[in-house]
Amino acid sequence: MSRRIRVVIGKPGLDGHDRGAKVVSRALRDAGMEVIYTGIRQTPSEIVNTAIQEDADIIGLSILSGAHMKLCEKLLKLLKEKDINIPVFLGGIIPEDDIPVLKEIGIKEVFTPGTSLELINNKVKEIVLGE
Amino acid sequence: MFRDEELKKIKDERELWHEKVVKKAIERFPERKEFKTTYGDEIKRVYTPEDIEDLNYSEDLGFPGQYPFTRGVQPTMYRGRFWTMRQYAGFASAEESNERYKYLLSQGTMGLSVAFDLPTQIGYDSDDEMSEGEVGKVGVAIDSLADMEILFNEIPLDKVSVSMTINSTASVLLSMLIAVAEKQGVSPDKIRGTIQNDILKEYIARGTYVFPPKPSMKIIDDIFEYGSKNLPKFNLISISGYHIREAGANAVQEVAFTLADGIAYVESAIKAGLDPNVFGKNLSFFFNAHNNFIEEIAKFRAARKLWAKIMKERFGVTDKKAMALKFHTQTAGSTLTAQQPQNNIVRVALQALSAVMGGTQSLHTNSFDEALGLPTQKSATIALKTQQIIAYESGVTETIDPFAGSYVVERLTKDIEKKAMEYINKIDEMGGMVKAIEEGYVQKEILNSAYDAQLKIEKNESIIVGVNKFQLEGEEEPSEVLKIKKEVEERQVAKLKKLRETRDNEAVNKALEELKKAALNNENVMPYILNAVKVYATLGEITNLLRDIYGEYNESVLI
Amino acid sequence: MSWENKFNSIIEKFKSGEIYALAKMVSLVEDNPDYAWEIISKLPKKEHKQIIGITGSPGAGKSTLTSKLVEKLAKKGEKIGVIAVDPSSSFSGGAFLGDRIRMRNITKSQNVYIRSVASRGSVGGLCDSIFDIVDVMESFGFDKIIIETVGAGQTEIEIVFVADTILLVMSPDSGDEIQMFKAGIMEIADGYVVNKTDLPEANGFMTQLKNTLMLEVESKSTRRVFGTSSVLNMGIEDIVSWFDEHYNSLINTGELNDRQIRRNKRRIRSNLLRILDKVVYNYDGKIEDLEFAKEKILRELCKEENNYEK
Repeated sequence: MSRRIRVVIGKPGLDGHDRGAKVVSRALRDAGMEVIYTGIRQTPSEIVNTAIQEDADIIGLSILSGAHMKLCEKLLKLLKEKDINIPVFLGGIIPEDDIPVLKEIGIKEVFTPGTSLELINNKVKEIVLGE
Repeated sequence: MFRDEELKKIKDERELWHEKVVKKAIERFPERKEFKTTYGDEIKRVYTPEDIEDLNYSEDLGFPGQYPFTRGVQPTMYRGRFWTMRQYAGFASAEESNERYKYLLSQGTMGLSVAFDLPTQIGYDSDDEMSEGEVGKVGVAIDSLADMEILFNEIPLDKVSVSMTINSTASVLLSMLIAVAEKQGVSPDKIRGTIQNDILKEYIARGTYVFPPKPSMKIIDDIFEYGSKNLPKFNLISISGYHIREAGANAVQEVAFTLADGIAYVESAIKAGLDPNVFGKNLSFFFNAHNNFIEEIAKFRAARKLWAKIMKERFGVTDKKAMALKFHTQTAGSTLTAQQPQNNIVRVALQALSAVMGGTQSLHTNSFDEALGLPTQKSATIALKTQQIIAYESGVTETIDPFAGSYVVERLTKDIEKKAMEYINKIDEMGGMVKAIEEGYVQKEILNSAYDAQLKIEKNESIIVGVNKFQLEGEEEPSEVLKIKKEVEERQVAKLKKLRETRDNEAVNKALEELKKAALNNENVMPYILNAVKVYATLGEITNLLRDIYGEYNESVLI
Repeated sequence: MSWENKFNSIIEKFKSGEIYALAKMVSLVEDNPDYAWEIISKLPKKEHKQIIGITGSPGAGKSTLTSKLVEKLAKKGEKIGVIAVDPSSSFSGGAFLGDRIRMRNITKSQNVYIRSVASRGSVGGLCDSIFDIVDVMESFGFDKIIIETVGAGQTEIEIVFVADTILLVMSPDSGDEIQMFKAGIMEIADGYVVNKTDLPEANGFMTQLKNTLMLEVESKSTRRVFGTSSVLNMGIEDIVSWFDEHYNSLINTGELNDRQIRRNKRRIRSNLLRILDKVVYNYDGKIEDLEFAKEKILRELCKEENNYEK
């Protein structure tokens, strides 16, 4: 059997709007990936631990509350501290001028509302296979 | 509604028209492929009296202010008074929000609608580890009565009605509101407003739950009991379909799941010994105004009719006022696009118009920049002005329920009612809404609709202007968005630290101890929370205490 | 780094107890079933520890119960490995693994490792690599390994061939249990948990269950019926102490040995089937040759069988 891409989808912070996280989870599953969804209200450290235990190929975060800067910084810092190289992408309501900053600190890709599922599927595959 | 011979004649003429005229027209100008409602029904080319053959005017429609309230809950509707223009707002700390409220009131807003930040909604103090990065982000941060006093500074609570979007911690925030009112010299029976207090949709769609369903429902019963006695002018719950729709439900699901939640609350309150004729009057609803204009009007009418029937037939309610479904509406946030954001002004106007045509009691219009971030003062003002233009300039408010009698609107109203009832029956069979939620059934149904809708957009079967068609070439000018400064969190944490040092901690401990005892003894917790709030116990302290007793909920997710 | 160096470095980290190396090792055996035995042979051999299987119909509350049991065990200081299996989609081969969500109370514990596993085409409620994954986890040094099956219902008997102790979780308010009685799945368990004893139907259900089990006159005196409520946190302690009781009785009666033989046979069977499947599926020669090969193998096997049947 061929290797399957394992994705951890996390919702850090307190925001409970999980439509995006669930719809993307289903799309990734329907594209043949194994999706581990953490559920809402996870701390960055819980998400990192999940990704470690599950040997995730990639982590996807969904944040709509505006807390993305702090949460992403924290999560990336944790990965770095533990010397773990798992790429991270982000989806949600993210103001335009935050995107370059997020990419600079290490977020691989940012998807804002209106992004097609096909594009997300392809980008995820591209990032994982490129690692 | 029509005589048989008349219907026969219409049928013959329609068939003839189809054979002789339509077919030829289609040959020359083919139609687009699919015409469907959001819930998957075929939409006809044209509706005729044949489609409302089963309509019985007196039973199905009646008159405004009369059972089954299909045409509206008040006899004169907007000819007497417009709907309440109520803009949801709140950000950063109590100081900034207080300023925004005073501005909105000066611009003609008629009632306040408080947006709390997530830590406040989930019962964490601003200095809690879980609150990091979230303080003041999606609403105002309230830690204690001290913040609430600032929030309503110079806002007379006997004159301005206050709606609060607060659910799992509604008991605490309501207590704070009562305490502030008392300090202003306003007795509880004079305050008007609404608390959302709808925990079931939090498990389904919005996610700010804390406790498992059982204790959560118990707290809601406590609020009903306390409120029915002490807060006669206050809506004690706003049963919300808004977030269910935002999570991806279609129109039928929005009505069905909202009313099924309503049934669960009424059942729970009756079990707790309350009279539905009394608390039924303090129930209110909250719906979404989405894109499909005609379907939405039918949806509001169907919901009103179905609820009246449920209250009358299922719960044996005799007081008409306890059967009337009053509702607030908000335009659909999820339809706003980050691309060409100014287009959102038009979307909002159309959605708001459908809510008015559907007979809403109050309305929030979204700001055009909400897909980008928090609304600025400028965008919030345009949103409010949109409502004023509909009210004062469009003329649509002069006749009550103007779409009544439209073949298509009446047909869709009946269809939505019937299909929603089928869902409600199914949920009854499963053992009720709490069970259906615990098993993940409701969430899965909604996700199915959300996923299908998304695929339709991707296949260009649904068009969103500026997103999958009519995109603009080149870079768009970035819009200005409101940013919450880091200092807000630091300031709030510092304020809280000071409060803990200066308040009477002995009194706080005593009040918390009494609350604990009451919760363990299954007493009504409201009076104890009110006491704790008055001595400046914090929201986090109160909620954590209850968290220890009631436990925390873990959801079931089916994809 | 060459592949071999990379692999050796993972093994070193695995030996020193690094969780990420364990996770990588599980993926390795899962993604390379044909080489799993070779990978496992490089890992330290450890004494066999109790493997507990938790099965039951959907909605019975398996995940929540599992998390409560693990919480208790971890608090006692035991190191626990959890394997939670969810179904793969037969269309896309992808999977949605959502059991972790209901195990939030144990995800932070240092003593607990949770691995979500997709069934990847297996129909018995587990996945084909389950034996290999268990071996890897055993080698890492857990005190107990707990496997939660897919939970699709009646066909999930594969767990019998993997676990030492099997717990069947049931909810009194679901019709599925009646089906289980009929389908005979009731016979596979060592312990029976009636979950949600806070429900009014629970008492009657317990009595019915006890009667049914009594009727099967077997010498399985170790069978036990528990009532729990995950909501009220009741009955968990009893099950936790029964785990050790049951395991000790398996050792003392020699049953453990029988079960291990059964497990090894099943493992060999499943390996052979997989390889055979691959050979047949990928074969592109003449069909007559394949037929001939089949008959030859069958003839050999029948000879063997006659020798064994005594």
